[in-house]
Amino acid sequence: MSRRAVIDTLLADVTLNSLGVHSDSLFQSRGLDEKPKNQAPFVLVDWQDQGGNIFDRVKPPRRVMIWVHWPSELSNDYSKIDTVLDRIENVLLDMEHVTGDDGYTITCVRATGRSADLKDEGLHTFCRWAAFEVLSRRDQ
Amino acid sequence: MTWPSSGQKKIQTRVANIDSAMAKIIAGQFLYAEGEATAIMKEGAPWTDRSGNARAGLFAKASFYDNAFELLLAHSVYYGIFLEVANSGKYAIILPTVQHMGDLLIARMERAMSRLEGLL
Repeated sequence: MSRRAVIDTLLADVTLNSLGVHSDSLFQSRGLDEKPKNQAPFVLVDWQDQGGNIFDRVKPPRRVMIWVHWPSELSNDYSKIDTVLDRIENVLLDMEHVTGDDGYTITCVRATGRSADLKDEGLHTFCRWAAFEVLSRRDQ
Repeated sequence: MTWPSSGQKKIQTRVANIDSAMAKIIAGQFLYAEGEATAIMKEGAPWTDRSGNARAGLFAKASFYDNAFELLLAHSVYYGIFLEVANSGKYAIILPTVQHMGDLLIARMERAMSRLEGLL
């Protein structure tokens, strides 16, 4: 499923680190019950279903939705969120044949769209998400 | 080389029929998906009901414009956007259903088109 390669690549990127994306602010989950304790922007990686086989024959990619949240009390400037999402997109789209510690290799990643400017009333953040499709293989 | 005029007419008629048959297939798939998507959303909505209005208000509607086909999925309650976004999409049901129905529709239309090709 290639989780490791995606997460490790995002965490290893110096530009993303300088934008506040590091191991304390990047989570893998379908939603969050409460805002993380650190008062900084945070990123949520939501691995979704694999989708149906394409034309019944081709292995489908796995969908992943990446949310970038910025606490309302810090900023309501969506351009900061866009900067993080732009960098995440560049990093992911550059991934070709990258092997992760979990034994899966990413064949390629495709961007499939971004949300409008959103406000998360549950976590009290301004946020946007970007969706990607990750095609991976398990090397024998 | 020229086509016999009767043969050309036959081909034109058959091509015109393909378009019409294809449009009927797609429209049929979208109309079927209407009820199916509504049921999937109502059954799969991940929140705990209080009034039940949010779950009851989920609906899907198929629309056709010329050569465009659309399946609209929506909430009826004003706080639907809250459910879709809050806690980073923890209670979202529209987008997961859009993705699921998109895959289903593509797969079904592909099979229907293969069958149509076999008949021609």
